[in-house]
Amino acid sequence: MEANADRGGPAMLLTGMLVLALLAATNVAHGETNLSLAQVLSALTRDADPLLRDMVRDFRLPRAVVGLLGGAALGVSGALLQSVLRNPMVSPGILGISAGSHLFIVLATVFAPWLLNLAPLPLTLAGGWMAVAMVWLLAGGRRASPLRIVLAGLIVSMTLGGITSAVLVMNETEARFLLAWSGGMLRQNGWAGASFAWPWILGCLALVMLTARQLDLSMLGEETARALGQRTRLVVLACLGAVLVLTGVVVAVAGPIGFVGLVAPHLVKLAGIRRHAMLLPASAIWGAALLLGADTLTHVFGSLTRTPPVGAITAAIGAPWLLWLVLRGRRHGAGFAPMTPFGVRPRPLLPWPLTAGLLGLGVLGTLLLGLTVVGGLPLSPGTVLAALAGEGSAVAQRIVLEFRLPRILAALLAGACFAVAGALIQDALRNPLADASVIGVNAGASAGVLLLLAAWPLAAGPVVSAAALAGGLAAAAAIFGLAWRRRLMPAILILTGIAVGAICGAIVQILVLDGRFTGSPLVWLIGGLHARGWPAVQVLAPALALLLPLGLLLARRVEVLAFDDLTAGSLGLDVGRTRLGAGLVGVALAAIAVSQTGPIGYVGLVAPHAARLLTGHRMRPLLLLAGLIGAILLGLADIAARLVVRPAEVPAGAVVALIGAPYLLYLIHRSDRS
Amino acid sequence: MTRLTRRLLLGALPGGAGLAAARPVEHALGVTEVPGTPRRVATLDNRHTENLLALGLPPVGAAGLRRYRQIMAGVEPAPGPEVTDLGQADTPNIELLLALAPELIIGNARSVQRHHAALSSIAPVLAYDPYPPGGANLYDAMLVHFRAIAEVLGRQAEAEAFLAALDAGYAAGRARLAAAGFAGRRVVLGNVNAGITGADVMLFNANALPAEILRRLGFDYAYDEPRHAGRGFNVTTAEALPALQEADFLYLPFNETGVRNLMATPIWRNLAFVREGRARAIPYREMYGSVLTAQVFARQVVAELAP
Repeated sequence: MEANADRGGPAMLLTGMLVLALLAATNVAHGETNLSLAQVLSALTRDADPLLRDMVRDFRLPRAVVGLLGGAALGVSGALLQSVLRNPMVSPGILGISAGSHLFIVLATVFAPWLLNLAPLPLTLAGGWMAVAMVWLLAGGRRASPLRIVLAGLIVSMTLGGITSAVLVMNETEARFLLAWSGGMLRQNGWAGASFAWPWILGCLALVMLTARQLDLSMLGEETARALGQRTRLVVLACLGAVLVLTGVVVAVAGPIGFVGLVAPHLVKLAGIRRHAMLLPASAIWGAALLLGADTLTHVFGSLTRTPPVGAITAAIGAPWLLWLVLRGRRHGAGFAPMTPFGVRPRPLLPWPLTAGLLGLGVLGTLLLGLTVVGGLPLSPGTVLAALAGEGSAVAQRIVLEFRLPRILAALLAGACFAVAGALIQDALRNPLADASVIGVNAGASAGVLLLLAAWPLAAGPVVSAAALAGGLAAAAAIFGLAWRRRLMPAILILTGIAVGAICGAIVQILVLDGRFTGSPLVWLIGGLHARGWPAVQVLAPALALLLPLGLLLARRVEVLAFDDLTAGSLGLDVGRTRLGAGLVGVALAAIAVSQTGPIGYVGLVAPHAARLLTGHRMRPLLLLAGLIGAILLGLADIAARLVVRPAEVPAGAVVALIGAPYLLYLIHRSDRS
Repeated sequence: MTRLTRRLLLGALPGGAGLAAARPVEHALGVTEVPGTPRRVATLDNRHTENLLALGLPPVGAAGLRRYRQIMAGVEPAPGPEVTDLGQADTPNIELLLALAPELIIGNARSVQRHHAALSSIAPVLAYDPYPPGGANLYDAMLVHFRAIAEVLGRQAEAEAFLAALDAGYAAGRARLAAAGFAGRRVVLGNVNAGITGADVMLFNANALPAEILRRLGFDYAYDEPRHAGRGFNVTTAEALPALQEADFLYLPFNETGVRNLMATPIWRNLAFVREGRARAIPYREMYGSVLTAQVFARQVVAELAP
């Protein structure tokens, strides 16, 4: 079988090299000023015009070499991860390695620039290692299923990306320059980057080529491999280590670049190549071709208007590819089977109405806290009560009635919306790591807002909210529409969401970069409740009042979805419709909340899990308790957001991510044990 | 809350303009009625903090003040300790703002737009877009905004006096630069930053604030690309410099590493303005400012080139 499988190998390698050579030549000719191929060639001769020679030799060639090395590193990293984790959907970007490395670079640039110039590699390595550790924990360690690894990676990427954005928002001047790099870029100012990168990258590539035989064996399955005398553990660790180094080096010289590691190995596998001795070099060559091609595309745009980040181009190429892979794929069999590892308490601690009552008191407490402790002006509880009763000074009354009360109410309501949406989506998709932000609603909303502002920079607040709603709903419609043909299978729906989210993310990256010096586009990427007033409450309250009962109405049928689709169908349930209904109610709730607060993640992930630990799996109590917990969570996060750096404030979305990430890890850990 | 009760409330606040005659003022987000001649003004953008200081009427509160005190250290007139810090420019502290009872709020239209309703419930809001559409001259836009604010505040005389002093400063600088041989010289201004993979060079376009200042100092500005006029600059690398090497190169070192990285590139050493000693550093200054930034930047250029 092996001999047959790899017949396309040499052809694939040869075409790859040819394409690569063509792309490299085109790439060198494009840049701030475009050159003809004749000019490029003349620059390489002895008696070239000195300026032309310098430009080609010191800018264009190192750029092409970094693209070549970086693309090769990412392609091989993707191939290794896909083999080692036996998961066709992973890549360094999807596992959060790039996001972790990027966060550490940003932190160093803002807080310790000297460290960055001293040693970029240990920084990117530490960031990547942290991300991998988080993914490992979230995905449930050794028992992790492929889909769960993808989701965990996505959540980790979102968290670390959110923290990066928050750091940048709080340090605007540095951020303006750093942003260029956050989308990935190959441009070099000389050979420093290339000469730093090549020993690491070529060394790692040589090392992993030595493991090719072992990798072939381990693909036969763990037991067979062990029986053949294979030290599986060691191979896996060596490969993961190589991936971390390769990705860390690429981030250090070119920034975070996604999707090359996903697409390149798939292209090669499409040609029928399976053996690693061929798969790895072919992935390297096609990865390099992809990255150089994407970079060349950015310069084609750049000579017309402005250069978009190369990471956005690779995402724009790669995300449709992921979509195609998901929607056409036949082999989602075992790895992508539905899963229900919800941690459920067999008998609730307390009867759920009692729990609900206690949580209700918590919401009330959060409300009172929000009315008294926060804000610029210290008001005593007595003053606040008087103001609520319509007495006391005019200023105190206005602060309490017009600003504090609606803001804390908006936080509570939005938190409840996110949580109920998360509970519905998790149960409908039978997946503990799904929520609206994971399946692309937040990215859609951000893209909607930034597209509006690119066309109309001075659009009024309500118009911006409408654009966020439209963006979120459009993303959701695309996801459900595309996945409908595959009967809304949970894994398909989630992976479609990830792909659509990545396309929106590419739009966001380009537009953020475009507006970074003239406006402050970053504030649209991380949600908060600054200056939210009664208009927000007037949107959120009716939405919750209308959609929560709908969710409760669907609850019984959603409970049946907890069985697998076949069983549920044999019980007389229209699986597709139920899933669509619950999914749409959840997405609508989340999209409306995002339109008022901006993109906030985690509430929809964490609150339902916390509720399940309190009440078990019955859907109606679960929705109610999750809503209450979500309200408390976002309410407290907003209070903290206003207290930590007074008189300024941080985005509440960042606070939620900082609290939510460790709490989610803890919850997942607990539910895996029970 | 209705407009009338809001007025009554405002009237009850200290220093409120009450029900004095209001007049319509046009700005980037529409037309706003401004009652009387405001004395208590809050600014939500450092550009307008500068404008008010130049008019001799310091704001009662300013968002972005911490940053202002850093980047404008030593520039007179400076905001005194009585100016309240309202937090970050993008998320001004609404409660502190309300407690200050301003009679007027002035901000950047691109961030005010997000919380316009909340701000308008506190005081009339004037918002200006520092990047007007169509790639207009940003210095002219700055002057239009400065004069419009002066008129609303009844400080036209102070505004014209400040602008006259500014022009006199340019004239004196131009004379000194001419004596040093800079009259009519072609010049480009860049902002040099470390970047991650080598120096970023941000080239100011001919319609940018500092480009116009350099013209007023007697230079001829050499970088004018229509595709970068919308924002007034192009962020690029040293790759863009060969085309400009016949001009003089002035640069603002955003950080030392940036300059080191730039100078380490072989292309840098071969550029005409480097070989002939026509590349000169000007002390770093943020160019997202207004009239005070213009004044101090002009002084620094003269002090550096014609000491």
